[in-house]
Amino acid sequence: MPLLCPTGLSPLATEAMKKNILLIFRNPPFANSSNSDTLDIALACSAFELPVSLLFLSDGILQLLNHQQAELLAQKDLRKRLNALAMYDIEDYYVIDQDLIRYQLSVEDLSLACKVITQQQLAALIRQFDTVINL
Amino acid sequence: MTQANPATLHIISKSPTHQQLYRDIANALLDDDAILFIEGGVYACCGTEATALLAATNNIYALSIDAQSRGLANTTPAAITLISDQQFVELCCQYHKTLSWF
Repeated sequence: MPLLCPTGLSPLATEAMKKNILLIFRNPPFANSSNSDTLDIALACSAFELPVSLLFLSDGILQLLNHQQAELLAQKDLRKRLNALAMYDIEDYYVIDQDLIRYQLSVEDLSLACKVITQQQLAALIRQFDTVINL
Repeated sequence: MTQANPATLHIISKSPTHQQLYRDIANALLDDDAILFIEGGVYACCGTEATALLAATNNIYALSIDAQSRGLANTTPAAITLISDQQFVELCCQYHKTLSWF
């Protein structure tokens, strides 16, 4: 039984009402705080046991690149927090095949095990979710 | 002080997702101009944009610390010279002017 049950409904009823959420990362690392903010949202959702999926779109894919050395820029490496997502039961990650091709990357270059979808499947993916957050 | 080189150093700090920006740069480039990728601009090194720009000029540089920190140090094509902060300053002095694109 979750500690917070704001509606006062039974756990079963709240289960049925849970909205699934898609969070979109669109920015490269070190550009601004939006990737970090989006990650905060993911963890907050997870604390309320809301099902969360992550889409790394366009330059967002660059956030996942291996061999980053954020310390050279005296910045925080978001990947440490990204790699901890599995502990929060957030394990549904997507990238677009065209974005991989565009930067000549393969899934092995990425720090999370992402599902690769096509640009045509993107709209259908978004359709699946009750809420989509795109900072 | 010698300033024989009349060419321009174009400094690019945004990733190739900014397509209009890259089109503008391509139009603004003469063949003895140089390009320096800094910050998010270094992502152009692992895309097809660098190849396209290399066709326009041979003088392409990327700031080493920005490429390294973003995990690109090993994927940068050999035709692009990685430079230090010190060399960045020297490069700015070599060219008549710098032009920042962002």
